[in-house]
Amino acid sequence: MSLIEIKNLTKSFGKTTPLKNINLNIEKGEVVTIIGPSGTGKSTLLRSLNRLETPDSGSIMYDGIDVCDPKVKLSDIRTRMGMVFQSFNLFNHKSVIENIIMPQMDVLGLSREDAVKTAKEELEKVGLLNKADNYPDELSGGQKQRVAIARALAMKPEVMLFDEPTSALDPTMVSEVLSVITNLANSGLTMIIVTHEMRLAKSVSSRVVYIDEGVVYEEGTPEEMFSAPKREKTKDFIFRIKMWEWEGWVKELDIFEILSSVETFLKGQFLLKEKYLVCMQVIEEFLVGFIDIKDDTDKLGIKIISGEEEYPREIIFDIAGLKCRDRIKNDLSDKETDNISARIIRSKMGADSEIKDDIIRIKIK
Amino acid sequence: MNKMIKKYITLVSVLLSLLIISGLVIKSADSSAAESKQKSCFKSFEELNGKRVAMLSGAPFADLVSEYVEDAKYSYYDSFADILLALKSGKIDAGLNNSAVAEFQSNQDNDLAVMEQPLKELSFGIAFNKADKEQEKWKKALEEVGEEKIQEMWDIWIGNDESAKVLPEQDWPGKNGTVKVATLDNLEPMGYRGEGEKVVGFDPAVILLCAEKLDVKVEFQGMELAGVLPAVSSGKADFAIASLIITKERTETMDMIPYHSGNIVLITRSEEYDNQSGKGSEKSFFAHMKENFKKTFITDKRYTLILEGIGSTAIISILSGILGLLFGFLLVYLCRINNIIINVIIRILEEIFVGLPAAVILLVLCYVVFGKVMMPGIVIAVIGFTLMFGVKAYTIIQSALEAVDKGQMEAALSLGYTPRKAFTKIILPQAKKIYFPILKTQFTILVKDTSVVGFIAVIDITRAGDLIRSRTLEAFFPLITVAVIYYILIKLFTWIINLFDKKSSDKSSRTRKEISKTDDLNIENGD
Repeated sequence: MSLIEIKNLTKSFGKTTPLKNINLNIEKGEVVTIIGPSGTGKSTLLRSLNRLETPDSGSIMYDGIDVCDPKVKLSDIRTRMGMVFQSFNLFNHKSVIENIIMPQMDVLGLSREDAVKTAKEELEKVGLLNKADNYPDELSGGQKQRVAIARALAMKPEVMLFDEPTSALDPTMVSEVLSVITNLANSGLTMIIVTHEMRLAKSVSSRVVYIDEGVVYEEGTPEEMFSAPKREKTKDFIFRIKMWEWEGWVKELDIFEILSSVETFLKGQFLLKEKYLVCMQVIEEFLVGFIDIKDDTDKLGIKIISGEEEYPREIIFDIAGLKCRDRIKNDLSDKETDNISARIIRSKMGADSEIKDDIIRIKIK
Repeated sequence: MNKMIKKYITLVSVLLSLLIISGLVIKSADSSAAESKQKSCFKSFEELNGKRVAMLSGAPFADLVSEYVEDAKYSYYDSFADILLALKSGKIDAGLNNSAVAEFQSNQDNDLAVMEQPLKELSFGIAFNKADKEQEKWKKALEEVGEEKIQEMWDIWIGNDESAKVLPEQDWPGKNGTVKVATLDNLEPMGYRGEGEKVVGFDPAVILLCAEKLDVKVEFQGMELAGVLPAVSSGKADFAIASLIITKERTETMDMIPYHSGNIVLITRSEEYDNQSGKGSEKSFFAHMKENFKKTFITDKRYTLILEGIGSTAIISILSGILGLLFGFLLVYLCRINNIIINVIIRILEEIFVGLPAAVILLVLCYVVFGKVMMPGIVIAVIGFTLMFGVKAYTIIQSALEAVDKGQMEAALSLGYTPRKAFTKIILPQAKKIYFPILKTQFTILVKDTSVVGFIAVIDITRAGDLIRSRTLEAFFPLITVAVIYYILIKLFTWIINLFDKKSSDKSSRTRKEISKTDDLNIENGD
């Protein structure tokens, strides 16, 4: 018998039904990451496990107990599960260490002495013992989340549920929380994580579950899912996070908007500043140097595909719709070209860049 | 601590300076008995054209005046003392009342005089509910007492000999029961409060003469003119004797038995007053202050009025505050049950008690809801303010609870808290930080709102001030006293309430328990 067995779970909100028929088993010791597009009910699924959401139909068996049974004593089941929220939800009127002591005393009935001991241990593990007497509003987001994790762990749960633990954090604080979660995963604790953070999914999970169309669309090991997804939508999802594209009429082109969007995408790929600036420069020079927005009927396509490398894997310009495409091709191929933008771009182009059939693929060197 | 002391020294000095300034700037209506009769500054009714004429609220005489004076501007005051003050300060030019009152006042004060030409002859009448059979008995009693005796009373009460103005003790057996009589408590010499706040005057004197003949005990209820007739029609009083002039309009709704005749006259500033731009007091400043102090507090043991006032205000405020708070929490609890009927009732309560002014609510409770029931005014006041404060407290606590982030409850539940425990240990304490300061302010407002209970015949601080003012005819000493008393009372209450709010939300004063540094464990009481 699996630790958690979810059968035919359905949940609607008003007109939409994000969860249509979820079937999923989770074994003890697994670290399961749940990924998927926004609004597909990932959080709802997670929150149904401890009945913060009540499913419309279906069953959730936790260690043989039906969580959806109205007669069940919810507080007992919830005590066996720990939950970490996107918005931390620390008790603002209590200090950090009191946050961790209170539930132990109130719910588990431990003595204050024991509660304090455990609290100090857990705080130590997340590296925040020195903040024990501070209040939540004196901590940064990353610190708050780590305290939240310590608070949940102090209850010695059998399962830890993470609901988008890093989504509300600045990128600079994400890593501190990720490392805490990674350590936990290595300790053998059963964990279920809903996240957009692919680094987490890749590095700590034993299994990745992709939810789409209201069902478990595809699942597998991280290697299977990230390198070789089998089904259409999974592929789209995995790659979309790694790709940026723009396609449209040249006359509607807003250079600043595009550059800003590119910057956001590249930053999200966790590229270092020097690296992504080069990429932006290439795009800027291309737009400034080659595109004449007065050309009414011209269309352009730009794609940036990201990978594991230092630089984005490639920048693709689709110039089939441009009147001056031949001139562009010539300038980029010509070492002695008078076009300054072309020269700059050439200086950044790596050897395996290619210009073929009105598609320019630039690999940054 | 030093800051506190400095603060209070400043406070006290400000208040003292206020008192001194008011004494210096305002020339009080220091009255000395005049030896000869003054003449009015208006010789004929024509001179009053376009002038401002005032009368008591509830006195139906604007039409009468307009028969003599074109274009008079009318204003209505709650007490005759206010009319006299307005007259002397030039806010109005003439005040209307019966000849007893007018002559009495002009006897007391050189600055005032009665116009020679009366407006109309009048009869004073005792007002009964229509077809009340009791009136026959009293009619007969009046006849037995006789016009001569009544005239004797009249002369005593409008004269200057204070020692003669004593009501007889009710030492007859009273085999025929007790009657409740509504009478004025702020119009000398007809009905006013004398020593120890007892209601005295010409009107009570007449009734007592009859009561002796009928062997009936009398319980006088002193109030403003505007409350007298409603008291009779609602049954709170059996009949009223309150300087009521018999008019056609009044006899349409009540039966009135005449007991004395007089005139309706206008009282104005005297010639002498008008010629000078206001007399300065002949006494020295300190003698002035001393006399005002004596008049306000010592004469007739008026300090008892003030003490009673403080007592009423305090009782009403404290009881309503505590009961109201409990009522508010009860409503919060009921609201969580989510029963449709209960929610509708709560909504109705909200609309009524937050949507109407305190004075209106009290009047409705007194004369409509509890009209037939004999309940002391102070009880009605407590009921009214409990409901008002309670409903307000409910809306405030409810908003505070909703303002607490939903995530707090979710976190608590996920840790294994039951909803109830989560509410008491996590949600409520955080809501308290929000609602407590607001409730504190609301309580202060409650104390201030109690100043309207005079409408339902409760003597609170404000009404005590009014009554003293109506006797001394001097505004600022009693008023400033009332203001200072309210101020101190509210400060005191606020200080007491703060004792209940041990934990401050101010970050700098947060107690850092330093739990992590020591292994020492003090047991803290849960929040």
